[in-house]
Amino acid sequence: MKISELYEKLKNDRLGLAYQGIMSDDLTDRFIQLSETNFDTQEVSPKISNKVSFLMFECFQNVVRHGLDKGYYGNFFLTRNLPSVSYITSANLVANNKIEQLKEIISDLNNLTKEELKERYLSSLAAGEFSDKGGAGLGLIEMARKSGNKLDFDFVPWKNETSHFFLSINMKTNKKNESIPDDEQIQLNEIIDLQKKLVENGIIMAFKNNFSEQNIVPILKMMESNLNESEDLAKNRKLIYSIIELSQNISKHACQIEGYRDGLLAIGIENNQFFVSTSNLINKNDEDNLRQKLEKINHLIPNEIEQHYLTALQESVHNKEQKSAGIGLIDLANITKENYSFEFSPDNNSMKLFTISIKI
Amino acid sequence: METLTIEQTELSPKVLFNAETGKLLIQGKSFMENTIAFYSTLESWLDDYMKAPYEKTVLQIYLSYYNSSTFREILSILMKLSQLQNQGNNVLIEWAYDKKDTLALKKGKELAMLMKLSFEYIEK
Repeated sequence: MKISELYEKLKNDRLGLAYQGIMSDDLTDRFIQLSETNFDTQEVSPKISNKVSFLMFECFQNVVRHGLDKGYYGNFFLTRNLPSVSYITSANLVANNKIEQLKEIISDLNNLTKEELKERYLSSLAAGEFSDKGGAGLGLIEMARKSGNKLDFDFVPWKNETSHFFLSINMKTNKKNESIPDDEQIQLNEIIDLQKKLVENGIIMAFKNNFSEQNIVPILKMMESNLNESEDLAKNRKLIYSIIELSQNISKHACQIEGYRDGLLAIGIENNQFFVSTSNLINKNDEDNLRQKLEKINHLIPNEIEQHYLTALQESVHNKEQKSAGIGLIDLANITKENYSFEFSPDNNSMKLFTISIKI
Repeated sequence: METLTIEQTELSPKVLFNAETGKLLIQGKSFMENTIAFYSTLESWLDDYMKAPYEKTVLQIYLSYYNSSTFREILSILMKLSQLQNQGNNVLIEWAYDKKDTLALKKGKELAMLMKLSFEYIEK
């Protein structure tokens, strides 16, 4: 799947965040922080925003507590805020011999009425029904109660007698509580398919949002938790620098649509190398200039690129206000010694979808 | 002259510029989008400092995360310190980096190539 295709898939998302890897309570907080900031800008009521945060917390707690795998693709988290509905999905690995039991628990909850759910919650609370890992079915009951919807779930075989246990909930977030428009209805099988494609393409994080310096902070924190600092610190720092630089390209240069600088950031691993890709709309008139700059960078040999960077850096001191110095793009090629791959896909008459990737 | 103190944030570094000791420190993360606004405060302080500098000025820079425009701003600061050196003052740049962070070391060496200033590399 090309990154531009992923952008198209998440095009209507006001916030789309898919993450695979190590999960912790701290990361749950970061997800919630991003979602709440997004709801703030969408003027979603605090009551609904809080409910979604609660659902995210419960859903992700389930994985933090019960997830079996510590590798990149053991855990999966997704939150998608569309204009009128919010989807929250988690997946973690479970032993295949636990599947039937889980199916029974959730199917049973899905058959209960609102009142029955409340009763079940209170009786479970009183009985102190906790599993050996803490938490137990209470979280699931609360999720069913708060969302007001059935818990959507599925099991997808993985390896070593384990399966991904997908759990998904959605909540209407539009003010008038109208029905969800067709183009915002996402079935669980579509989410499962998305996760499969992310795994196939080595993508460990995809983030679609209105880009600003503030919302990069949680993304960096999420990456940090997946990086082993002692392993190859310089490589990790190059990755972080590339994420910062390409994200800030979106927040500085992407076309503004209804006040938002929308873009997609994807981070992945292919053949033992990280890659960072971004997709965003640009003004059609900017294409030639950008293409020329990137082709020039790609044609330089490694020895030339550092000199090219140093010259550009010196010049930039005297032209600070000049917006499109492109020095960041030169420097990423300088530090990685890699070529960019990029494309401009037609979007409409005045804009192009610009996608760029660099390996680290 | 008052010491310039700026607290570190998730996006911007801690700054401690002390005119009494000539010790200047920039430490932490530096990837705010508007680097010009942030670093212009430092440059203004330096403009005043250069009127009556301490006999030796030591600038320590220790950064973990940054954006590309940060280096433009740091180069701009180094140019000021270069002026100070040309006026006959003693200037030293201490470029600190985390052990194994060869990227930060490279960024220091690049800046050193552009300036006639003494650089010392400090592994933390």
